[in-house]
Amino acid sequence: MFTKILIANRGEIAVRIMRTCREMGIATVAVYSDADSRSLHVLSADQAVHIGDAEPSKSYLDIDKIIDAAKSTGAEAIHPGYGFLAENAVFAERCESSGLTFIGPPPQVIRDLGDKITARKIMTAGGVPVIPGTEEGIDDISAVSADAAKIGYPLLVKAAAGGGGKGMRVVYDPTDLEEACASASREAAGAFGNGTIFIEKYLSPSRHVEFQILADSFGNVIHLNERECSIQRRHQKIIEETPSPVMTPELRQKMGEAAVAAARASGYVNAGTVEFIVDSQGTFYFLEVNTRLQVEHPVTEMTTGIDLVRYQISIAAGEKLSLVQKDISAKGHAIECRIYAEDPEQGFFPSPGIIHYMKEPSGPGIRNDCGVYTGFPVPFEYDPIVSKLVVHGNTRKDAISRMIRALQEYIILGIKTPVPFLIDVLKSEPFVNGETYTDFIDTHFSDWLMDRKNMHTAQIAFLVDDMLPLKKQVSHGDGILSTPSPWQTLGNWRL
Amino acid sequence: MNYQLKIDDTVASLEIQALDNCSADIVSDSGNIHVTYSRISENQIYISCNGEGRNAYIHRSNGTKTIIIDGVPYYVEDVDKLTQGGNRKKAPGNTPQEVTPPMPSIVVKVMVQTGDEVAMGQGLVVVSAMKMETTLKAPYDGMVTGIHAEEGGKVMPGEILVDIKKNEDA
Repeated sequence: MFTKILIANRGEIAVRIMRTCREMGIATVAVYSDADSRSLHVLSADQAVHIGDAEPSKSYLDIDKIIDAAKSTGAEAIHPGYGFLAENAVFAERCESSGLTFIGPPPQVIRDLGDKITARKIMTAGGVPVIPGTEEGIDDISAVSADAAKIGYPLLVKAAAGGGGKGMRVVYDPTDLEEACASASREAAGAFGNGTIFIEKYLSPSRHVEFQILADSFGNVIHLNERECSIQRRHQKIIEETPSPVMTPELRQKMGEAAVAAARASGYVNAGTVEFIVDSQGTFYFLEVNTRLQVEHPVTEMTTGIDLVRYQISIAAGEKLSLVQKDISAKGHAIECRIYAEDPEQGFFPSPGIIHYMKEPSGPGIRNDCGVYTGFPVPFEYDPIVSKLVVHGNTRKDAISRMIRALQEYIILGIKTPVPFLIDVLKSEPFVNGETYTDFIDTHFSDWLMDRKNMHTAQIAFLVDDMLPLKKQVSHGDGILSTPSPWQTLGNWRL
Repeated sequence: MNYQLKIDDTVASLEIQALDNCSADIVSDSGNIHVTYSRISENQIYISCNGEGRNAYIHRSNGTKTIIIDGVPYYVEDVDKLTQGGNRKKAPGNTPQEVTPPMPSIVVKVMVQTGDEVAMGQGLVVVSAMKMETTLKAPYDGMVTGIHAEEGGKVMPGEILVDIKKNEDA
């Protein structure tokens, strides 16, 4: 087993990985940019190495600096988290050639699955159903209409590289096809340095259902059930849950087998996620494999009781998977809400700034993977995720009530967050009924307005706050007590 | 004491009469309410209105208080203080008259050159903050007379990135 691991990431995910390392008795090394010298991941690590400017390309994406930091601190392995270098095959190779263990799949697997066209070919060969679409990338945009007609409209134009909704266009009308291909290709070229695109049938309404897999280097592969991640804004997930409201034992069996087949077909090792689209008839199709730990992995941990990061580390250390498929049993229902620094009233536009006050929810069945604290300035250079609030309950209904309660307890002053929006989504009839399709927010919440039922109480709070003096000279740590307690006036004495 | 409080577009008139240091009567269009309260910290007060208890979390900034109740924020302004102090923000919905980023950003693309004629609403500069791009648009028809942004540069709110001479006949 490793004695020291460098975490090549920041914020909540770096903190989360360090927690497991600490539990395993493994020392941790944080890396940080100019913008992050006071970040929670720096404060949570055993050691921290400054690696450069706030600009990601000069710090968290700078492979040389991260390898140097690992070598100079004596780390034996690097955990990449998600985002940044997590799905970068060149980085994984550089780790290997520098004598460091990359905690993730082999570089060739990252490369194959990172290209959606290659991934589709691997899955087709492995007997995993894929969405009808073009087999190869599109070279000649003007010749694409014949393929498009064969697949049938509406269509989705997709970039072979990358993700996050970039280089993606839905086309309803054949006359829009050429322009959609051209602009998707331009956007992909700009974002990922690769403008290759392909087209798929656009399935709507559909659900996004993914399976967590674990594979060791001895050929053992298991899945840890599904997560449904259909509630998205700008093609980014904001609410995830497990089990999926659409799941039946038969469908789980079939999809789980397909996920394991997908892992085997690609030679997968370590933790990964096989994403599927499930259409309104309950037919499922392979979407892509995420070759890393997912943002939403905690819902799986809550229901299965399995620490996925611990397994990632032990698999990377060459250990055999200690679990077999029949060991996996999920209990109850878990939901995750992503808390971003963003304004739900302004199209979820980022809202960075200083967190003036913060109070995290607690109580039964609550987990908050958080990367910030009171007084912390949320930097504008990075993904605006602040924390992931996760709840567990016996049933979906219990989990929903628990999440609403936890969101109502979650206080963050100084930046805007989607908390009030999330509360309304969780309370809404379509969500409660499990009608969770990927167009959920556009369909049900496009004209959302902030709940104003406590307006009068807010007005009263304003007045009362003016009435009550702000105690400036709080000296005993506890500002509530207006008369000192005997313990404070007793003076020095001994028994 | 009489207050005019504004939340979103609603202005309400409230009268508060303190009874002692932990209770008051409040008179408003919504009726009379007896409240008891205590300050828990600089950012938290506990209020009981007609026997119903609530925590309110407060952050004060330029006469506006952000007050969170049950997870929902209210941005409450004191109308009298606003008119005296001149802290009033631009009314929402007004098109900004200056080409400046809404938050600290990095310039991704400059789409115009000095001397270009631009039309109202035309994209001028693309900036990126927290991995999200936004396009700053021309506030009115006119001619570009100066550009103070270069691709890759960091820009702050208030910095004018593009000078535009307004068309007189517009």
